[in-house]
Amino acid sequence: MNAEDVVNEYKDLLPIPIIEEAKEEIKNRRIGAEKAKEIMERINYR
Amino acid sequence: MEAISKVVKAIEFGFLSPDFIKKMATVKVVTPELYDKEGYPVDGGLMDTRMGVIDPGLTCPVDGKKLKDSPGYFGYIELARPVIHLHGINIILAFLRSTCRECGKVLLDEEARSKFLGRLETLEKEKGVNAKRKEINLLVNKLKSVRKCPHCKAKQYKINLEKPTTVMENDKRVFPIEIKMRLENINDEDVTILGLNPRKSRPEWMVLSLLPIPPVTIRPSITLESGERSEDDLTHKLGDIVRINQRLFENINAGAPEIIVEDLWDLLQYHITTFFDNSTSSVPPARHRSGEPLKTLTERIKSKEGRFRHNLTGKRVNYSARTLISPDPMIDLNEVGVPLEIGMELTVPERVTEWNMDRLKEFIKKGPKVYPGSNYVISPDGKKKKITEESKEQLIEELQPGYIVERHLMDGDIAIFNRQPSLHRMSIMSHRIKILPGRSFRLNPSVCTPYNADFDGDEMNLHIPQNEEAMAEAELLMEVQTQIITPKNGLNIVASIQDAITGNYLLTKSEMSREEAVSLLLSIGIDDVSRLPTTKKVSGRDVFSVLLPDDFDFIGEEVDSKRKGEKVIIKKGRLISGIIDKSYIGEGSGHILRTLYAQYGPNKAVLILGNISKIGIRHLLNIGFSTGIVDADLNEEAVKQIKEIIEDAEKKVDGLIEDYKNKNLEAYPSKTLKETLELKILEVLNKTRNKAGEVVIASNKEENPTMVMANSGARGNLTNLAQIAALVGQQALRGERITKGYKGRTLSMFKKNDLTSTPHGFIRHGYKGGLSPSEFFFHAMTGRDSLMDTALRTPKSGYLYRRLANALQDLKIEYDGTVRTSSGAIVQFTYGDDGLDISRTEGGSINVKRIVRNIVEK
Ligand SMILES: [Mg+2]
Ligand SMILES: [Zn+2]
Repeated sequence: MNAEDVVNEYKDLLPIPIIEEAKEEIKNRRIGAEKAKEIMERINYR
Repeated sequence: MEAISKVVKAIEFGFLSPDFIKKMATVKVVTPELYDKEGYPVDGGLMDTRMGVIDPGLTCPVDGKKLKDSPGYFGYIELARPVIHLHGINIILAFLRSTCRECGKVLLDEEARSKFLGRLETLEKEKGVNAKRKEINLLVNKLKSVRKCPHCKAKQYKINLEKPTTVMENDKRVFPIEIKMRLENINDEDVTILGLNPRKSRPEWMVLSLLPIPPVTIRPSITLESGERSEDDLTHKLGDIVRINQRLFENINAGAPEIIVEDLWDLLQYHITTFFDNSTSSVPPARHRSGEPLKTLTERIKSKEGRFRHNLTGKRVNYSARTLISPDPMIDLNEVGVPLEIGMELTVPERVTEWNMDRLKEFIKKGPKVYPGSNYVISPDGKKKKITEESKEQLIEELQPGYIVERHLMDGDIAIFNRQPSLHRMSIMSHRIKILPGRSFRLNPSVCTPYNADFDGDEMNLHIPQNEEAMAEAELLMEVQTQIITPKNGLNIVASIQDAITGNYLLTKSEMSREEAVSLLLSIGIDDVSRLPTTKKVSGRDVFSVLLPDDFDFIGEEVDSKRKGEKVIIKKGRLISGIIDKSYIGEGSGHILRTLYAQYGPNKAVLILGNISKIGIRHLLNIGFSTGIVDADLNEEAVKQIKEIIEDAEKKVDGLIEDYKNKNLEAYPSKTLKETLELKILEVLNKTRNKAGEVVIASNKEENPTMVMANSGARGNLTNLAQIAALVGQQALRGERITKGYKGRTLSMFKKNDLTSTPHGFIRHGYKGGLSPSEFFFHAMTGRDSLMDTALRTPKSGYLYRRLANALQDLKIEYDGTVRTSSGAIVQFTYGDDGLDISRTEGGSINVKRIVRNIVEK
């Protein structure tokens, strides 16, 4: 599973603009799946 | 009494028919006497026991039940002459005006009549009862000017009301007997046309021939200490009614002149009117001998002291206390300091078991007067026994598992703390009790914000949960630490304030010896100083870092230009750079607190916040921090500069006025020349204060306590300082310079049509130097204006908020994600149209970039 798939897992939990922004940021910074998971967990926890 | 459980489908209101009054009554009241010589209630009197028993021990002769189980029963009196029911008078008038005085039919011809009936039916179905009522009112208004009956051709007359209950037809009085006869003449269908259900309310029932007497149980008499009986207001009033009624009967039977009979009749009408309502404007209220107005039926129900608002919407409760609040920064955030006096009055119930028996016996042994003791013991059958010196021994003997001991409050017990107005859920939070000397509740200043409390005389309420379930709920759902984050925007509402902020600001800027640092930490109860560097000197940041968890990472926002210093960076629990101020630990801005709360949970977050506040206050205490008038001192150079700034501004204003007079001024779009001049002058003068402020700031050292408070965000701002030290500046009324006053000038001391700064509210002196008389006057003008403004606006916005909250409180998010009303109507398809849970955001949005940065850069 790549980083984008990880983000897509959260599609039902978060508003679309947030998902899009996270995807963009993760792509720009070339973040891996593991870190992406951590980021998405943090975003979703809030 | 057995419980009956049914769902209420509808409630219908109507008038009692004479038949019904007779049927529901158990007594016909015939005598105004209450008691006989032995003090027993007279049969057929107003206190007849068949209307209910109010003495404990007696049984009700009707249902055979005791005081608390018997509801009491109605009686009735037969009125010698009919009397109008005050609350039916408007309906009576409507009927009299819209029906024929001879044949009793509605004054509509057959066709119009059936058409109207049809319209009413559809109207009620389609638009509801209120629309129907409106239509009927319109009809009544139309019919009142009809002068000829369309059915029997009888002539109709104008009918007027002389308040409250006298009906006049063509200036001739229509007596209730006549009214009643006319109303009886109206057929059931015509009653329906005017909006009544004839099976529930016939119009003639509003002219009373029988008066129901309410049960004794709603008007109990009290026995005074002297043994004298004191009757309820209603009984007094009913006594009057029965007495006059009797005299009226006697006079009629004796064939007394009609004038006398009519006088008595009017008197009866008066008494019955005031029995229903003793506060109608057109009737002088019936009074006690002391002059105090009687409280009759209507007064019992309406107004703030009435049944609804006093007894049903709001109730008094037991196990609660109220007193003044005062601050104590050294108790924990989730503690409340309770005076010993209150701690020995309020109690916590503890159920006796095999295992706590000995402990609870100790409480009983101490009794109510020694702390920590106990006040009551409740036996398993529910009997409550007071603990006294005499009963102690016996109660200890008697104590068994299953008993309950009501012991005094002790440290650590859970309590619910509240300050009105309770506008949001943080207005009621639970705290741990800490028994303290003194007579006020003590709270940590950091929880002032959620309660909106200050210490200028505020009082608060304390409640003690009385069972395990309530205690558990209070602990899990309501404790302060669970409420740090407000659902309004997801930011912290519990935060450091005032001195705690100043203290941390100075602490994180300072350096101290290691001994001082250790002593500072110990003074707030932190004894693990292993994370403090072992160097001789340590920085304030190092001390601050000891309070943080050792795996805490945090990167603050970019520091804006107004704030000095670098951005706050915390790595592995160490504050590496940056100064802690209001934007980090203050209300609604402390991202540090938010992050701590999210990562370490409520309990740890509240502990850290408490420690941060404490160390700030303690640090201030150690270094000594004070403020005073010297903070506003200026050196000669600054005074000179400020003088120049003012003179410069004045010159510019003069120039503008000159341009205006010479028509050299260019008008702003959609503004006249005069308006343009005013705007330009205002701009120049407003700038003056800012410029002077800059001089004040530049001339002061950074350690100036007022500046420290302003810079840290703890209290006040630099404009305040400038107004004290340099100049107060332009006073504005509704955004304009002051122009009101005399013709062509504001005060008689000025020349007419002077456009310069001084006559129009420019204050060139500072508060400290003192204002000139005219300046003082202008300042008082704007001061009064803003005072009035706030005084008028506060209740308005409060009421607006209340209405909004009431309108929205039933909306909820259903499982399909839609926002719906309680009846299922959709308000939004997605909550907030974006589905964001605001209580989990940072001020309304999710800062994805910051979250990513925090994780990547740690
Ligand atoms: Mg106050
Ligand atoms: Zn007629």
